[in-house]
Amino acid sequence: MIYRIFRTLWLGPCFLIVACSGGGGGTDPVLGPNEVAVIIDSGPTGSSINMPFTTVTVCAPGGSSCRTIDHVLVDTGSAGLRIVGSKIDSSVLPAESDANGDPVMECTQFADGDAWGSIKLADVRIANEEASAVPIQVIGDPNAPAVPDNCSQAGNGLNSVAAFGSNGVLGVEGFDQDCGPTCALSPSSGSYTPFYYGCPTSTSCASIAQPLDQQVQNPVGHFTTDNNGIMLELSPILGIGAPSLGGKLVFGIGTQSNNAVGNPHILAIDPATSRTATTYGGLQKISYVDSGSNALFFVDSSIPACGDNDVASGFYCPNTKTLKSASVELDDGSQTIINFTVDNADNLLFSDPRFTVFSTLAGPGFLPADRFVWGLPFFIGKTVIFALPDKFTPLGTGPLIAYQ
Amino acid sequence: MESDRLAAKASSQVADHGGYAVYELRSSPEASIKEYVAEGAVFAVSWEGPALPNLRQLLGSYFETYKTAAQAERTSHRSLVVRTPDLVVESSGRMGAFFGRAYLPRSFPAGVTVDDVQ
Repeated sequence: MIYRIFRTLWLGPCFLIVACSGGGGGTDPVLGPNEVAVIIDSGPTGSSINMPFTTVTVCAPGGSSCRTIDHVLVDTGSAGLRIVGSKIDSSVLPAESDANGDPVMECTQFADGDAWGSIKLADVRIANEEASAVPIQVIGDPNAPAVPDNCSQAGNGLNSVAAFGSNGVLGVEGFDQDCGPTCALSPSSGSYTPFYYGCPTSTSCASIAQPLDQQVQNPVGHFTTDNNGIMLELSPILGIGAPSLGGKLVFGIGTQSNNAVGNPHILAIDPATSRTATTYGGLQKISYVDSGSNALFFVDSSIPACGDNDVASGFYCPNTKTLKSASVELDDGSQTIINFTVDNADNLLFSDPRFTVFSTLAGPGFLPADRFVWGLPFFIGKTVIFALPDKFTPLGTGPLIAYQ
Repeated sequence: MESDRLAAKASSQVADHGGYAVYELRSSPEASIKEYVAEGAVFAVSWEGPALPNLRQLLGSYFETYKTAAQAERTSHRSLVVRTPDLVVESSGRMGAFFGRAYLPRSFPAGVTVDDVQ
């Protein structure tokens, strides 16, 4: 997973998207009012692999002081909008206050560290949709209080574009808010890192319980139209990789002529956790459908993993392309088989220094053996649908996950 | 470990595996931190839970080694591995469901392997 080294060796980012789109099937789609373009490219750090980005506009409530931010990661593994502080002027956005009237901060946790920053209210505009005065997070907000000790106890701060790997993240999974009941019930304490904090002064922040409607909100549920969920459509790729790949994020499910649903596979999910069920190698695994994971991740000791000190450590390095299949449980109780290919990650990553998209990238990913993550390669060439809780769609009432 | 237990209002239990013992701190059905101890010293820890654990406390003097090495390895918000001769840390998951383990490769008791750290 050490792309930084890889990219240092093979520095060849695509400076011009247009010049790079030839091999990726990334034709410019004509976008409807509820659609925004998505692109997988090398990103603002020049080292992204399999990361889908889009563009959002953030304004002060009421519509002034707008700023448009590109290269925001489209993530079906989180909920809510977070923008890195260097990309917006956080001082024009009103702070969210806790019960004591103190400004609210969040320590957003990822496997590789914590993102600290203020919760602000903003109008979020994507395509022609708008969510008014919703809580967002400004990561690495220069105007925020200092990072408290217990938001730096789990690893490194992810508080800049370079550290976070994108200009922000747009979490569009099937939840209305980022943390949910766990953070609403009581302040976190003890051996785990808290999420929400109230900060009476610029040097003192304490863990608080944060009501659901004041947590960072999935903006999609707050749109005035097309607010029952999203569809993420990515073009297919030909060959082993591509310099870039186009697609689109469509808002609404069955609300417009451009988001009608056909006859997709609807996955069985646990509504409390968004977990799906996958059977692989004869074993039942807890699984996720996650555009923020850059490969398919699962443990299979029969596929050689790349070397520990390899740039592709964490991925699989089979001698030859390996065909695999898994079955996913559908909401009617039946199973459907998904076939996929696992290619040698070393060969892929070194195949062409311009490539940023690979449909056959997979790895053990340091996951427990009972997990299976359908990461970004699963989305390539598909439309994947996420409906929000309690929202009606032609496929049923959310939350639900489907693909076609 | 006692201070951890008090802080987290959790239950703890010990399992004797012969050459080593596993101290488990469980604060909810899905939140668990384990310490693997041989001859009075921790040689590995593992965790699972909705939030990240206090690695500064769990890794002790190795925490800064972890942070420094992690800066060079970062590529994905869903998984991270740090591998130095003295310390290995593997972290994965997403908000609501994190997993990981850390161990000192040179401090394993005889006959114990990384596969024993779950």
